[in-house]
Amino acid sequence: MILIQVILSGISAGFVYGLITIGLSLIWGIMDMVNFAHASFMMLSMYFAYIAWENFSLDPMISLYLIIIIMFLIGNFVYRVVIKRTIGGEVVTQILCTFGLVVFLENMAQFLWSANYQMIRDPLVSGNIALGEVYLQKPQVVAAIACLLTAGLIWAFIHKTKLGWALQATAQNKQAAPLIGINVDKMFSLAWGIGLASVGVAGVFLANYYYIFPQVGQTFQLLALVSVALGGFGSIPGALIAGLMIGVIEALSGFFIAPAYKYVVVFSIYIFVVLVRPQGLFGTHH
Amino acid sequence: MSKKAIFVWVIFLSMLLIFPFLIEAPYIMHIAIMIFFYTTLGASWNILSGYAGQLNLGQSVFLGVGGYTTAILLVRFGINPWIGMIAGVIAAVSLSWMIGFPCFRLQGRYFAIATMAIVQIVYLVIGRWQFAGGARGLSYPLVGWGLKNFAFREKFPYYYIAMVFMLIAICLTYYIEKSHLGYYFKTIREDKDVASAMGINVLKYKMIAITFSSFLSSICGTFYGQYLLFIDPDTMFLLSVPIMLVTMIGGFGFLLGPLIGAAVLIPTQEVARIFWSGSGRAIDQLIYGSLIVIIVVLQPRGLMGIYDSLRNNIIKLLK
Amino acid sequence: MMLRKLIFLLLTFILLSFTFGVVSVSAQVDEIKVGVVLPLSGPLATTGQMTKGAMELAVDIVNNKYEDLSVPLAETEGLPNFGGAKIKLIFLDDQSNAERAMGSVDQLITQEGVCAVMGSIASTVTSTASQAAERLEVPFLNPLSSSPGLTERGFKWFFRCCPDDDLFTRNFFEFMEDVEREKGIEFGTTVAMLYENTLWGSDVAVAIRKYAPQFGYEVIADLPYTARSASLTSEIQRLKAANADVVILASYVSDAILIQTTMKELDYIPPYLLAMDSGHNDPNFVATVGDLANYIVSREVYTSSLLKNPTVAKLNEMSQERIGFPIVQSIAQGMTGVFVMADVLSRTESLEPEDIRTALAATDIPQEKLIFPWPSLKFNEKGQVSTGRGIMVQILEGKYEPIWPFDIATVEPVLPVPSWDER
Repeated sequence: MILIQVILSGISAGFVYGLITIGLSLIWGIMDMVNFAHASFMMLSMYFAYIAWENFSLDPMISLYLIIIIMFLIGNFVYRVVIKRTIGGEVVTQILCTFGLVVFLENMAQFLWSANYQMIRDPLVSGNIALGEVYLQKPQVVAAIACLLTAGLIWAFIHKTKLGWALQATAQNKQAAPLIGINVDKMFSLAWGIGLASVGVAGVFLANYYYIFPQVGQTFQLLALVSVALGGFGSIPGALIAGLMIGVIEALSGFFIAPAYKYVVVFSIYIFVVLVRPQGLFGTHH
Repeated sequence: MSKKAIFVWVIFLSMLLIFPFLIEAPYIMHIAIMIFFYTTLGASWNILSGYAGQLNLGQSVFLGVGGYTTAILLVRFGINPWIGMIAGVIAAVSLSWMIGFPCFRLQGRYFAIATMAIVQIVYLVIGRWQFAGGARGLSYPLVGWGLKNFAFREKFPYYYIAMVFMLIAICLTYYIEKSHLGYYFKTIREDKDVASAMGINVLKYKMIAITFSSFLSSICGTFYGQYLLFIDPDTMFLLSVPIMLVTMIGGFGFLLGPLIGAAVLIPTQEVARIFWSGSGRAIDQLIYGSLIVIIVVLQPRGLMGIYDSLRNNIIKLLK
Repeated sequence: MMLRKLIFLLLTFILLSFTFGVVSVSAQVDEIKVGVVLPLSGPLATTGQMTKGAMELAVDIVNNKYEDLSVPLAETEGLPNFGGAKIKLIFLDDQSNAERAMGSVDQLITQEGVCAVMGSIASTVTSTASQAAERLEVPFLNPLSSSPGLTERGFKWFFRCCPDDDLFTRNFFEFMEDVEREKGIEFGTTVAMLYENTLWGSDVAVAIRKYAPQFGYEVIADLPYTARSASLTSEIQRLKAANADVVILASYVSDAILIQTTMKELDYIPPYLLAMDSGHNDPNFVATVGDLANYIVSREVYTSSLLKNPTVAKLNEMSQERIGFPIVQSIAQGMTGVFVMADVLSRTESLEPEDIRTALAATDIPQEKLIFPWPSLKFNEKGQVSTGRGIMVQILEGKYEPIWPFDIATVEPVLPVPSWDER
């Protein structure tokens, strides 16, 4: 029984990781750039949810929609003002740039909202769902469903809309894309917008049950990076499945080995996979 | 080096040497020591990531392994820290080979992420290893003071040791820059396929780079432990970001980058802390963070890069 | 090119030297400075700020005339033996970081010229901070950290005026023994512990492992956790699977909150839930989790039944007014720290460290002058206060009601803890 409980917890956490990974994978795939600050932006969205709740008494489920828009705009903004300047430069510079963003975002959050851990109390979504002996925490379940839906929406967008095809084309060949009339710059901006908006969704749902502090993104970032490596990138279902795997592995190792070692297992798996199968479990090439 | 440059270096060194006699306040010495410390660490990172272009996001792992080896040998076995330092170097360099050998064939990004994963793994494992003090850390026993014990009551012996370490780091970087190593590193950094096409054994030179890098970080780890007389996973394994920032701000891939970065960043941080930290709002950290982004974005080559382009622009203007 | 770089560097260097050389603080004769390192930002910021507020309140009482308060130096203005000189507290933020703490202590002693240092909260930070003071041979008084290891280091300059976790843990088992005997409540035989894994939590675990068998209990689950992982679901699941009779927690406030909410979500509550204070006694805990906190037994050093004492009642009013909180443990301990310091400074021969140290070691504050219900406040040869003890409180309707020792208890304990449905 408890085994099922553990696996289910792992799966619901996994969907959240999956959504974060998708955003990361999108930016990576389209722009060939690793966004080390991805989860730090998620931290921002968590704070936004908190502020909406604290100052305006808006439950996260309501402020969600506004936050999605805000995150999308921030994505565009950050791309235009910061990221754009590093395109075409050395890979090292790009990585360091997003790294610098992490430091900046974390410290800005600490400056604006203090380093105290904040928590949203009594959100709309709380409580648990009992299935016999197994208890599922409602906020986690709702977060999982939300992430799955968002993943689906993104997938649909990418594969079923013109704009989505343009994104795919850019991902496949940045040099050739302009030749067929695609404004690569706009595609990059769009990628950042969607990436941050999706991680914003994850953040708002996390805010229902996680505590919020400036460094909260750090663990998620590393997990997402591991997840992208596993899921290969450029594959949305792949990213989702990889996220799920990470979630379940984390939960199982936490339970059977020791909670303190759960990440050791996850990260070791990353190293193993990346050495043995560099394109990840599902990826094709990179 | 030109005669003029040598002359300036001599003056500079003399100033460093007599500095403790001019300014006795231990607190100010602490800042100077930290500057030397971070310069050395920054230089160690610079060699691997700046010159050889292998981005290591977990540099602190070498610092930590060096420091912990010394600490464990001292606290658990009573072994002298200088010997412990040598052991630390052996441990750190061995680790660097274990990382480098399989991981260097990974593409840059995957290597970078792997380094992040590795430092986390070591951090978490040590955090649970009671023999190494676990997450509580280890308090160094006060066995005695003096050079023999690598522990001092006053600050100035630490100052001189840190200064020597820094000079070693700078000389090593200088040697690399001027020798064929520098040329090979640079080629590998720019395009490793071209490098191997030219007949350069890419793996060998990457391994040399990581060896130097881990060596320097390791002795810093030993030093740090002896300075604080205390060690714990948080102190030892979470310094990767400041190490990188010091070099990035000063100038990534430049000889004096780490020194300039440290000389600017550490006092700024301390001044900000003195004046503003009472409020608890970490304004100092914010300034720190903003500086980073601005510099990296505007001039990825850091202050040295800014200086360089300023000079070039001035020269152009004067022509 | 090299030359210019070096000149630039040289100038920067000289400039910085001057800047720092010039920054010096001139000592004032009618002021006696005491340094304080506290976490004013970071995860322990709330406790840190409250402690700071408490210390500022206490130093105000010392420096001015408050005739109706029965605490050291309240009825005088300043220190009589130094001509009425006032004590000035200089606070520095250690950001809950060991290296910062060390740098702060260095700064306080060498730059600010304080005659003694007080602080901090987290035991790991206090450890490094006090080591810095030990190296510089300046007295260090710790009013809040409870890790036993701190006074086991053989330090000459470190004093702690609050009881340690070894004592508190023994208090837990003594409490259970007393309640079993007097009230007939059976606690069972198995113990599980969930604790944060830095110095404080680990020391608590060591103490539990030491005393459990002595009192007839078996430790069946030993679960350290790292606060940073921020999701304690696996830990609570393991706790649930272990199904121990008694669960002992040692957490700082944010984890305490998470543990409680996760327990609710997973529908788990052990029959006996004991909390080793700290996070569980922070006002934010009950404020955040509300009813979920009920029935937890925590250990305290201070309890509101002490308000019977008019001095304590008056201090409580002042605390509410100036700090915004009624007296809680950190406030009581912060104030006591300052009162002890003031008492020491009023007896010291001079401001030389050695003399202050002698005065510290000789401290003997009688019960009437203390906030805590201790017979006196004295230090043993290790610098640890030997006369303190803990109080067990149970959270009922959001309030911390003392339930042990029975002579200061105000209610009967409600045990075992009702399950979530029963509430």
